[in-house]
Order: sequence, then C-alpha cells, then structure tokens
Amino acid sequence: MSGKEMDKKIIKSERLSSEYQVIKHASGLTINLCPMDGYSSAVAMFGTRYGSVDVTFKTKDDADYLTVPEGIAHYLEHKLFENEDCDAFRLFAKTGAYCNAYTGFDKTAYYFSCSREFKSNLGILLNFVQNPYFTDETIAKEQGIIGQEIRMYTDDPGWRVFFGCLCGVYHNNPVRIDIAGTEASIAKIDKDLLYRCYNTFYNLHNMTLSVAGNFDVEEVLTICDELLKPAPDLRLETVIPAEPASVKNPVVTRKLAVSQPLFNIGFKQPNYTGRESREQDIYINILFEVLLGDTSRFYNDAVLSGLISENGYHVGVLSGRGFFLPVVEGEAADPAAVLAAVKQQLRQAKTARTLPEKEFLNVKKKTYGELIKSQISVKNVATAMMNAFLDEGGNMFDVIEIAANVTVENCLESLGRIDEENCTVSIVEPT
Amino acid sequence: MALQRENLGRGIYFSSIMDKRFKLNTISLHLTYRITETNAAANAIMANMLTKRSGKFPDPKDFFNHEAGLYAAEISGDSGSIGDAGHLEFAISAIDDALALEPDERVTAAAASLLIDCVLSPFLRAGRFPDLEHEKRLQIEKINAELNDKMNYALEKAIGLMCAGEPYAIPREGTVESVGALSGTELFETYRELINGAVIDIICVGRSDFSEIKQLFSAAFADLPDRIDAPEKPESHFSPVKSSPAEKTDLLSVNQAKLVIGFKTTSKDFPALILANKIFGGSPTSKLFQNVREKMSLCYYCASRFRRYKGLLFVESGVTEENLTAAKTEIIKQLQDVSAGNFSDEDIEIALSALKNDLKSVNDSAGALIDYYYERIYRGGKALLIPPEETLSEYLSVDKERIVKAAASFVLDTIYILSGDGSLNAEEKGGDENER
Repeated sequence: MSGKEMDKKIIKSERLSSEYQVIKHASGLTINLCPMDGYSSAVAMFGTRYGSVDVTFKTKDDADYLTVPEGIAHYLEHKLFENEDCDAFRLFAKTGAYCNAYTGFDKTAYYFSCSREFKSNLGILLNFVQNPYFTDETIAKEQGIIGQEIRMYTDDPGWRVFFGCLCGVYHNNPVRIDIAGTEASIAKIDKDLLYRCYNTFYNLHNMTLSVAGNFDVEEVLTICDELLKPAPDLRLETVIPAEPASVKNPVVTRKLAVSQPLFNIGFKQPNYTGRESREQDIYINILFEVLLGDTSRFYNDAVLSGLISENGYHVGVLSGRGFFLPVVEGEAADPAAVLAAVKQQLRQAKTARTLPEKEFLNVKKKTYGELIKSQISVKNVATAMMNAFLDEGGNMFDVIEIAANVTVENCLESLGRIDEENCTVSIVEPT
Repeated sequence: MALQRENLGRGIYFSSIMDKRFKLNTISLHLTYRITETNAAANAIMANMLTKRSGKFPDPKDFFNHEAGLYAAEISGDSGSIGDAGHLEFAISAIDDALALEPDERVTAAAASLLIDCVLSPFLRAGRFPDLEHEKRLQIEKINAELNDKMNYALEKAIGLMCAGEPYAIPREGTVESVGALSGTELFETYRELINGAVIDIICVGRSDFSEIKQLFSAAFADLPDRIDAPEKPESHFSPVKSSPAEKTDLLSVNQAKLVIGFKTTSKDFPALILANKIFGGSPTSKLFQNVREKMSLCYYCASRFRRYKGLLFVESGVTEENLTAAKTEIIKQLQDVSAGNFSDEDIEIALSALKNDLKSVNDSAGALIDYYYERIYRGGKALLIPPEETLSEYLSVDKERIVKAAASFVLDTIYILSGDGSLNAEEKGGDENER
C-alpha cells in the first residue's frame, strides 16, 4: 500500500466478471486502475475536466468570472507536448510507446499505449502534463499549425453540417463554437492566457489518471507518489451561459463541394447532468433506433423510396457537460422532406403511446451489446474509466446496467420530453 | 503460438486463435480474387447488398432486427485490395454467450450462421439478385460521396495517376460508369466467380474454441458444386517508375490545398524500406513532422506511408495554397536527407522501438490479429505464419547503410494537388464564425 494513498474503492461488475479500483490520491488526483490479465499492452490516460465549452470560469481566488477567447483548451493540448529541452513525442518514441492527445467539448486527455517500459512511460506522461513550458516564440509557431488544422476541418462537410446544427440550436452555449476555435480567436491567445487557463484547469483535483491493461498497481502508485504535485483545491466553477428553451435558427444552410446535401437534425432538450444524462442518452438512443434506425420500417421504406441515402445515416445523442442533443444525420436529396417525415414519425409514436415490442427488445440487446463491445480493448477500458470520472456521478459499468434494464416506459417517457417542432435542420448543399 | 491454417479443400482455409481474454468472438471471411473494372464494381455492390438481406431474411428490416437481437452482431462487408489483388472481407463479432441477457442464447453460433447465409445463401429472385437498379443507385451515391472526404479523394486521384493501367489503380468502389453499365447477369456471374474461384480464408479470434464454428463452415462450403479445385492467389507487382515525374492539379471548392507526393522503389529490402519510411514520415518524431510541421509551421498533418506490395511511398499534407511550393520542396528535401544518411542512430532506435511496440500490441486486438494474419497469408509460405513479435528479428539486423540505400531507392513519380477554385468568399473561408 502506498503511504500517500487516501481512499480506495473497488468497482465491480458481476455481469462482466470485471472490476477496477478508484483511488483518491493525497495530491487531489483521482486514479482509476484496471489491470487486465494476459494483455501485452497498457494504456494510461491523464485527463482534465476542461474542454472547449469552458471559456467562462472562476476559482476561489477570483472575485469575478473571467471569459477567455475560444480554442484555448485545444491550444494548450498542443503546447503541453513541448518541454524546455525536449518534446514529449521524442521521449515516448525512445521507449517505442505511441502517444497522443485530444480535446473535446468538455474534456482533454493525454495518453500513451505501450507494450514495454511502462514505468518510464508513465513518468513521461505525468511529467509533461504537469510541466508547462510556453514562450512567445513557440506560441507563435503553433498559430500556423492550428490554423491549418482549423482549415482542414472547414473542408470536412460532416464537421460543418454538425456545427451548423449546433449553431442553429444554441444561442449562447459555447458548444456551438469549433473545438479548435477560429483563426481569429486563436490569434488572441498569448502566454499569460495559456498559463492562466493551465493553472486553473490542470489542477489535480480537476483531473484523473486511468490505467488499463498490463501493469502493476503498486508500481503506478509509487510513481504517482513520486511525481504528482499536490495542489490546493481551487474550487473551480465554470459557467455555461443560460440558454433559451427554443432553438436559435430552425434552418442553417451552407454550400460546400459535396455530391448531395448532408443534413443534421437536432432536437433541443434541457441539459441533464450525472446519472440522468447517461440514462436519457441510452433511452433516447434506443427510442430513436426503434423509430428511425435501421431496425425500423421508417428507415427501410425511406431508403427504398430514395428519401434518404444509406450513406452516413445515423441516429443518436450528442451529450456532455452542459449540452444534450438528440440528432438524426445523413445525406438526402431533399433534407426538408426528411425533416417532415422524421417529425411525423415522432408525432405518431407520441400518439400511439407504445413501441413495437419485438423491435424494442432487439434494439435493447443491440445497445447493450454495443456498450459491452465498447469496453473491450485496453484503450477503451482506460477511456471508459476516465470518462466515468470526468462526466461525474457514476462508474464505467453503469451504462451497461442501464441498458440491461431499460423498459419501453423509460423510452416513452423520454419521447414525451422531446418537442419535435423545437429543432434545427442544418444542411450542407453542393456548390 | 503460430497460426494454424487448416486446408478445408479447394482453396478454402480455416484458421482460429482461441484467446480467453476476449469477451467477443470475431469471425471473418476473406475472398482474395483477380480484380477487373467489372468485378470491382460488382463486388463493391455485393459488399453492401449481401450484408443487409439474405435468403432467410429477404426484408432488410427483418435482417437488421435479427442482427440487433444478436447483441449488435453486425456483419460488415468491405471491398478492398491487397496489392494488385481484390480483397472482399465479411466479418461479424459476437459477444460471448455468457453475457447474453436471456438464458441459453447461442450468440456466436447464430452470428456464424448469419455470416454463412449472407455469403452462400443470398436473397435471389428467379436466380438473380433483385432490385438491381436500386442497388446500383446506392453504389453510385457512395462513389459520388467520395468527394466529401477531400484528403482521401486526393490520395485516390494520386494513385490513379501513379498506377494507371495496373490492377491497383482500379477504384475499389467501382466507377459511376462501371456500376451504371453492370447488368443483372454480370452481377450474378461475378458472384458465382467469386464464390467458386476466389481463395477463401476464414479467420476467427476470440474466447470460443471455434470447433463448432469450423464444422458450420466446413459443412456449408462443402456444398459448392461448381467450386474449382485449385484457385490461385493473384500476385502483386511493383509499379514501374515513370521516365519523368507526373504533376497534376485539380481545382475544387476547398479552403486548404491537399498535396500528395508519390515515390516508387525497385528495392525489395522490405525491413529497410519500412524503417526508412518510419524515419522519413511515419511518426511524430519523423523528419516530415519535425520539419514541415514543427519547424516550418506549414501544416497540421504531413506524413508518409509505404505500400509494400506495390513499392509505393506516399506523402500527404494539407497546406494553404501560397505554401504549396515550400511544402513540396521541403518534403522532397527531407527524403534526400534520409537518403544522404542525415539521421542518427537514435532515430533508428526510435523506429525499431515503435515497431516493437506495434507488433506486441497486435496481440491485444482481435481485429489487428485478423489483419496481421490475413496479410501474412497473402504474402505466402507456411513459415510466415508466425506471431507478430517474432517478425521483429527481420528488422534487428538492418544497419544504417541499408536504410540509406532503401531511402535512396525511392524515385519521385507523381505530384497531385487538389487546390481551391476561388469560389469560396472570404466569409466562408473563415469557417462558421459568421454564424456565431
């Protein structure tokens, strides 16, 4: 047992015959550990509850909220890989580990995957994320790289139609802004802003380390004792601006080089948190699959009649801290006709107050099967443990139990919460 | 443990890896065939058509419900290639029976049967695939939608230029013309040729011991009266080097130019070629990443990949138009640098370490194991079916001289650019800012 360890919980799933440990380390960091017998590789993820939506915040030391330019969370992710003397990529490369990082709407994660020299790699990860090094020169250099990253995404019609939808649904919620910011917003980023945001969000109380696969638990704790820098709890508060109940624009249209129109239809919902968010996510996923997915008569008739294309059709929920959006996306010659048909299908289901039993059971099994599959690989286990902590209020097995126990009534209740008229259709049309 | 590949007769092989770590059983069926313009179009249609209905489930709605009820055991169909050979893959993965929600559900056996039915007992009407025009329309939509992914679109265009006239350049999804011209008879005949004449490999990875699954496949495939006795694997040939490099620019409404530079080699020193590629542009510590991106700040991505069966090396990058020349010059200069031996022993160590890590990690993923062994099977020779980590020895003996020679063997062949056509106004260039 590590001397600095404070509080340890074992999280078990009898169903999966799996378990993992959640440890609250004295430094403030929450550590999730899932050793997996027989695996060759290990994945460690160091994540922070900080994403592109976190542009307005205060800590206990601040008198008032501060609002910063868009894109800083992502910019920080790029810049942390550079140390004063060497970049983290090179340090990992020497051991052969694969490393990468990503920034989302509500979290940022740094990770490596290795099949040897785990201890060295964990040391590199903990060190580089905890030791920022920014200069005016290295910040200026990154403008060009991130500028090209932003442009790459502006050429991606799937990305554009998605953000068109978010821009149409939300008035104020920063989820409507590209994760990387804009070429104009990143031009405002300087050293002081980066340090300010770093010191606020990369506080260990706001972070988590998740390790899965081939590693030794005691070894991880020893390295953590050695390398984690204890920090005071800053009692960080972030604010997502209040949002009117109705969508901002019901129709958002852009033109790009595409073969036929792409569409995203988003149904505005109130925001859910914690377990309720996970439950509603699964209920609406199942509901939409039953009513609009490939198991439905609706979908199969729509493909046969040519109303929608088989390409890229998907129903699901976009959810995270401060946003929750059921979405229908795809390609169609006439997205307005798809919108009308989808609304009609939702209205009919509301009137019927029932779901077809066989389809419901099949989709329930499908959802449950997909969730099990999503927790199979070493990387997925590490990610699932991290997300369970960062999303608050649960463990990684919760979603599987929610899916295993979902009822028709749960889904119908969620359907009752959807106002099919309160939606945005975003369309990318051919130039 | 090496993979055991059992010959079921008439060019049909069954291989399995039992591994209790996995909570899934993955079953894949690979058809390796000689590709032509016509059969590429037909097989691309089949990859989709055979995975949404079957003789037992003629209505796609029932088919998708059956898959859903098997806990998302969704069958995938992928028409791809390995070198100059066509490669059609059907795969399905099922959760372990013990995880099913109802007692006595036999998910893996049902998934295997579904895969067999899809491939061997498709839905036919009067001996033909029904709804031909509908399927052709869907395939044409898919081909047209390739335009949406600008990076891949540029890469495919570059391959078309580099390997014109070779089987490798035949578009795997077919072309609007080849799909449009396909008749019902041709589609069905292509199906018959495939089932009766392709080399067939069934590769399974998972918790199961797959003995029952092997029985199911043996019985099903014993029943093909017209199957030829000894199907041949189509070989691949290196792409001949052009007498002078080709350069082409296409204009399209894009914010950022997509650049593809293709090189060709005649060297067969694969371990050295693979290490040279790693050092040149195969990782974040590579010459391309460190110089074109990090030092010169020209791009977000700039990376190279090597295709062993064709002797091709591609570099892909996305840059603003005004930086195209600078990026091109620097990419070519960086390859010259590797060819001149301007890299350290540490760079070689790093490339080897990455390979070691990659090879060991293959064991942790059913999908990676299947891809690895299918590639080894195509390469040929029983001795080659060794576990991933044992292939490392091929690389350990490579010295700097061999890497330099390998890098120097690459000749510039093609430069392809997808550039803006000037149709985007300033507002659109800035992305969605105007909507905020």
